[in-house]
Formats: sequence, structure tokens, C-alpha cells
Amino acid sequence: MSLPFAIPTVTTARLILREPRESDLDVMERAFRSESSRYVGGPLNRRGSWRSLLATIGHWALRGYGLWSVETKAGALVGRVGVIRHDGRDEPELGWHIYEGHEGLGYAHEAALAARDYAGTVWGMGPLACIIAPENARSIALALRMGAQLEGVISDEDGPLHLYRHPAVEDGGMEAYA
Amino acid sequence: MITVSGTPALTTERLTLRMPASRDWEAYAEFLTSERAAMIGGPLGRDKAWRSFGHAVGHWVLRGYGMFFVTPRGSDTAIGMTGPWFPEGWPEPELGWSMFGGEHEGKGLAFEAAEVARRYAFQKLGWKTAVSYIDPANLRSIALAERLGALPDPEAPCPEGVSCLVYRHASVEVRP
Repeated sequence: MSLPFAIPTVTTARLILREPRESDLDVMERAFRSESSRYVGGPLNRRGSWRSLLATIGHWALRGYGLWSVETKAGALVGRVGVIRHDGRDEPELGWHIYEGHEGLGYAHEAALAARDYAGTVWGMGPLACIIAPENARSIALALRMGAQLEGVISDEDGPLHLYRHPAVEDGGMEAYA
Repeated sequence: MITVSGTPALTTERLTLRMPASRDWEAYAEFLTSERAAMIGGPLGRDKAWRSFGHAVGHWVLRGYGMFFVTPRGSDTAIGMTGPWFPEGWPEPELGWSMFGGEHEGKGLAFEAAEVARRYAFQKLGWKTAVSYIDPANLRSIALAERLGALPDPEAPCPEGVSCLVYRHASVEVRP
């Protein structure tokens, strides 16, 4: 059964950003059982991962944008990336989660750049925010590498979070999605 | 007055960095008694600021290095400090920095000073790594650490009794 609304597909040199599917659940469950998912709402048990999968699809339905599942061209599910605006947040943010075992290969950078370009050129979004835990060095390094800069602190029920601001996406990227 | 001789002076395009001297006291006192010192344990009264000033000078005598006081080239008025800092109670050596007044911010001066001070620590003192202990609310300082290429090290401890973010500087490659 297909979704009653369209989630676009974005392709990069090595990756495909596509709609979340029920068949993603086994890989998601493994990723979300790990402590390394602590910055993206984990750790979660299988039911928690199931709800997260449903919530991801629901976010697309509710907002018209959301998190893609990120697959290699060989078909390995390596993470999620996209734009989300959860309840209580003032604006959408660019988010990423590359699953354990697929880190250090530049997938997050490649996927997040594609998502940022898509959001800017197709949805007219930007400059996008990124909300990052102050001690999450890996995500901070990626945000900085993408040209984002620390803008402020927001408080969350889990404590203070840093808001990084991405540069605006320049015009001229559309041909990649034509 | 006793003068300590043989301490290094560093220069950059716009700045001179040198050991603190008695003529820096008023600039330092003004900073440490102001709200700007809130991020480094202040504001202090002038009496406590005096002890802190003595610490900055004494650190040089005891360790052979310390906070460089930063002056604009062509002036001898200190506008900030930065340097290798390793007092008793610090888990590991630190690269520290403070700008004394807001009027000197936003021009890249702190970056320029901290970068040359860090190079001194790595190349002349032989440090392999350094941390910066930063108040989590001090966004300007965090942004400077990140501009210097440092990243949070959540495994590294803060000085006892201090709540801080620990930023770690990777060693700069030493060029011959």
C-alpha cells in the first residue's frame, strides 16, 4: 500500500533520500536501542522505534516536509535526514541521524547538504536552524563544516540546547532536482 | 619593583601579547569588577581582583608561561588576555581568553590573539593538546572556540566545583 501523499525522492552521488517505510523498522530498532541515539530521542525499544517511524510519516502528512530515510545506492539503510518542526519549536530545523556502523563515511554531510538544498530551493526554507546538544561534538562539527554558526541557546525539558544557523541556500541548485 | 626578564612577546598583525605588568592593573581591575567577569567567576571586588591579578603574574613565575596580556600594536593599554593556563586544581592545561571590554569585540581580535597564543603553547611549550573551560552561557566564547577549530569533549572533566563545557583543541601541526 502506498502513502496517500507524495514524499519526494532526492538522489546524491552515493545516497537516496526516500520516504520512510515499514520495512525500515528492523534497522531503526537496532539503531535506536543504542546509547548513541541519545541525541535524537533514544534509546528506544522496538515499540518506541515503531512510534518514531509512524511519527516521521505523520510529520510529512501534517507539515508537508519531514525526515527522509537515507539509503545507499546498494540499498543499505544508513540513517535519517530532513527538516522537522516539533511541537513547541518556533521554526523548522535541519536534522540528521546516521546509524551506528555507518558513521565516519561522510554520509551525514552528503545527506544533510542535499536536504538543505532541497528545502531551500523547493520549499523556500532557510536559513535553517539546527538544534544541537552542547556536548554533541560530532553534530557540531558537521554543522560548522556546513557553514552553520552558533546563534543562541534554547531551553528544552532536557536542558539547554544550542541553536546553529545555516547559511541561506543560494539560487541555482534546482537543476539537481529537475 | 621587580621585573621578570626573558618572557616572550608575541605579535600579530594588529596585536602584541606580553606578560602582565603592574601598569595593567587598572584595566584588569575594571574588567574583573564588571559584569563582563560573570563568565569567569566574577564580578569581584577590587581586593579579590588584586589577588587574581597576582595569580596572573605569579603563574608566569611559577610555570614559566601564563596569560599574555593583549595590547593593540602601538598602544600599551591591555584590552584582554589569552594564553596557556594551568593552575593548581585544573584537570589539564588550558588555553584561556577574555576580552576586557565589549568595545573590542566583533573585530576578530580575540581570535587573532588566541590563535597565536595557542601556537605558542603547541610549538614553544610542546603541548600536545589543550582544553578551554567555557561557561555554557558564554556563547561568544563558544563561538570563538569553534572558530579556532575546537570541539566539545564531553569525556573531559571540568575544574572541581565548576560547571562548564570543555572544548578541546587538536594539536596544530608544527612546521619547521
